[in-house]
Amino acid sequence: MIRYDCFEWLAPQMTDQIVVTSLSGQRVEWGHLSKRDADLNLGSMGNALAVGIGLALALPHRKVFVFESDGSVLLSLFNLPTLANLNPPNMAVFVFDNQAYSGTRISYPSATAGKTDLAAIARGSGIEHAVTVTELDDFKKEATERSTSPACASLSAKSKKLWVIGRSPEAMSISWKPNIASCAI
Amino acid sequence: MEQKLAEGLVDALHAAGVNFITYLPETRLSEIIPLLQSDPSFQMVPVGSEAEGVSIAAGAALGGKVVASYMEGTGVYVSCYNILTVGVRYGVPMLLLVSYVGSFADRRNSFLYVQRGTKLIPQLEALDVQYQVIRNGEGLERKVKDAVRMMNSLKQPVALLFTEDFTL
Repeated sequence: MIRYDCFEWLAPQMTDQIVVTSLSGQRVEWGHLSKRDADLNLGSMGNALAVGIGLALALPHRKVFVFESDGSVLLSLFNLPTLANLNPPNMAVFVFDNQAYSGTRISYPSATAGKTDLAAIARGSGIEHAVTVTELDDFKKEATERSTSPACASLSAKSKKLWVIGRSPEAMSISWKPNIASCAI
Repeated sequence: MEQKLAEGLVDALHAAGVNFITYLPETRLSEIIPLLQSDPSFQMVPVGSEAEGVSIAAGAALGGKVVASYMEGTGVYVSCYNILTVGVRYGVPMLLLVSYVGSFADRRNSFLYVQRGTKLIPQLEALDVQYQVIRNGEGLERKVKDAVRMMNSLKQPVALLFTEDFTL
């Protein structure tokens, strides 16, 4: 599974959902695939999740999708317990975990390339039902639930998912082939 | 802080139209928290770091709320990256409610606070964040309204630094 394929599948399905992206290549990729007023390609490491929480709380009638990266989440881990306790029902968080700081040109490995499991951190923070997905079909299955739910009120707080999707840093420089994914909330 | 002063600050925030507040409790102004929580006109968001307090407030402001982020002076240091890369970059009006610990008039000043106090204003000025120091409850409602008008005019975060009577 590669991130671009996930985006390519997601983008045509976006209607009035607000999308907040982090800094990594996802900002460029999503910006290429989606040209909507409801896209906020934030471009700031460690801020997309918090800005998304604020938007979700301020606009409870709108769905807010946040696209995060491993490096960005690691920079602001305090967001996870805050998200768990606030638990906005109109929010879904996708963390694309490529196990590397890809913007460094050398794709220096992040902590998730080692022993760190973001989904486990999310679960430990109180974000229930954390899952990891590694295949595009699994991603589609999980994402469909989020993208087709008609109203935020219909979403169970416990049914939210924080998706953490990964791929090897080696693959980063030559292709877009991920090898790991996880998911939480 | 005396209860009457805390009530005055909450009333002033209400009168200024603030309706969304992120907060991390601290040692000087925390009496306002239960008052804010008991007023349904405020959407209160507890956070684990002033950094996310600023970013969550910024998101809410982009969603149409009139926002404030309450923090100790130390929180300005913690959140300066967020103030700059979200608040300033995206032109987000936001009221930073900051207890000015370690300042001259901080009645509980000590070696624990003074270093952060003496460098707080240089920090705000480096960020080009406009600020006012508030020492007592005189004209409080007008001062808070002035700050909200300023942040909306500038489309930037602005700060109110509370010291003296607010630190008792």
